Amino acid sequence: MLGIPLRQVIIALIWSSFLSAGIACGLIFAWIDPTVLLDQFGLDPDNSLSGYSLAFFFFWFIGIANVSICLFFLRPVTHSTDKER
Amino acid sequence: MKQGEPTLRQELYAKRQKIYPRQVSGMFASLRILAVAILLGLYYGLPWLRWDGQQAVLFDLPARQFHIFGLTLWPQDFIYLSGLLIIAALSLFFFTALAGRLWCGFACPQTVWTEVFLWIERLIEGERYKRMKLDNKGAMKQKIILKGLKHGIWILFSAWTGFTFVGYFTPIIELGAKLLSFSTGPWETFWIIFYGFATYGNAGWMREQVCIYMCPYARFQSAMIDNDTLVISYDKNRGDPRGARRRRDDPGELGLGDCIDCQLCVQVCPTGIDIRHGLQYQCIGCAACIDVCNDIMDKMKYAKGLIRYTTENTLLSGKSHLLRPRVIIYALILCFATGLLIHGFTTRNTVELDISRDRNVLYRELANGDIENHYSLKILNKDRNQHQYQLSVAGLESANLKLDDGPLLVAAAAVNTFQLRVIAKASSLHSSVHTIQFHLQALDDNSIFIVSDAKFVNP
Repeated sequence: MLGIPLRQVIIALIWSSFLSAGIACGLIFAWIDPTVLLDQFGLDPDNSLSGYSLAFFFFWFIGIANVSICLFFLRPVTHSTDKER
Repeated sequence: MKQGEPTLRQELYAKRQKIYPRQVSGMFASLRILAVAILLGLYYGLPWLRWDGQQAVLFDLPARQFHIFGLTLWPQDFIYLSGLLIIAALSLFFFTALAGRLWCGFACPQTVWTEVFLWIERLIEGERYKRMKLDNKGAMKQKIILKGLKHGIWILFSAWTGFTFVGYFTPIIELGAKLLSFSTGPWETFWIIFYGFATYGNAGWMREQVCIYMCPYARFQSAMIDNDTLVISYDKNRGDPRGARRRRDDPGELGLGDCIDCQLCVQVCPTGIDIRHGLQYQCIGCAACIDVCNDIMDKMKYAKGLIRYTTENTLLSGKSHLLRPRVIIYALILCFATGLLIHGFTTRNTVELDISRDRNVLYRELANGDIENHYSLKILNKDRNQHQYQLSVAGLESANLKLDDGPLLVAAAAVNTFQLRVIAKASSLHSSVHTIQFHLQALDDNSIFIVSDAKFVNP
């Protein structure tokens, strides 16, 4: 796929979204107290670690989804209709 | 992918060959061991230090406070953390321009933990050739025992690493007690396992692949390197043509250079490259090849430094200048950013004021016709001392403050909320909304004050 080793594709998918999830968490929780979010979703607001963790996984998931779409669009477009090539 | 294509594509990539780095001793190896000891000592030791009766370094997420040796950082201080990251990036640029990948070879966590994992591997499976023999021709029973032992120790060490990591976020002594009684919270348990697994995977299995595929710095470091950067280089003019010879042979007579082609520089390389092919992006600058080559040069009674830290320009023309515009500009920007951060941090406001209007009642008309607005006042004292504050209001002539709670006293590193009313004469109000300013001033320190805007609403 894409002319690069599979392991590189997997790393690009998981690792880049991991990094962006970390940055997103840092930025968002500099402003928002996770207890507010937990309260909003009806979860135990005393366990703020779960707020941070769930938000991290949410951002990670969004990142993976984003990179998946990006990788999909990066596939070379075949202009030729010649299937024999 | 079309059918028939994969076979062609697959062959373009050599399958990853497992690398068995040979042990090396010498000046750079000693420097790395020193760096590993200091950095890991800090990592594993810091959370156990106490300061003023509490953990010295604690990133207290539930309380949203970062404690670093008596200093408390709040989410509002996020800007300083960003500044610190910018300075770290600039230092990386500076040192890379000066002497290549010093960070990778001596300070990167990947290098540091891999060094420990390799040390454990060597201790159990033996030196390079023994490890290769075990993998290729070892008896199954021996493999299971040795590999099982190695992975067991790796996993224990990783678990301790994960525990320490979580100990930076949860008081480590309590966490340890909870761990001993198997009563850690679900997320604490999860993050200990997650971080431990990452350590085990990266330092035990992935190793050089982390540097090659996962590290962004490895990809863009070439942008900071020029022909005057100190990098690890093989002196081709001196070394080539390479060839084996006996110690007493005169290489000149044999038509050989100083390189005896012993391949040791390749065997010690943790990323498995041959430095004699020139600077490659896989080179993490660990200088293991320098150490081992110098040993060989000593044994052959040749001058040291066939592989050495030098610049491209020195190798080409014998001349190089370390102090060049790039290095000077990086240094100046670095000094400026550091100065700015220190200035900003030392003069940072140690009080924050958050004023919110009571949203349920816009205003209240009192019996004498005056208009009253209700506010909630949140004072955050970031200082290490308790302070009492004085509040005044400006922007509306007839405005009068009425504090419902006692004195505005806030303990060190704490937030207090106070209820407050502002009363104004109806005759002085000309529009429906007025902007007023609250001035908060510490009574015992003139330098601590803050001004915050709010709205005053009337009929």
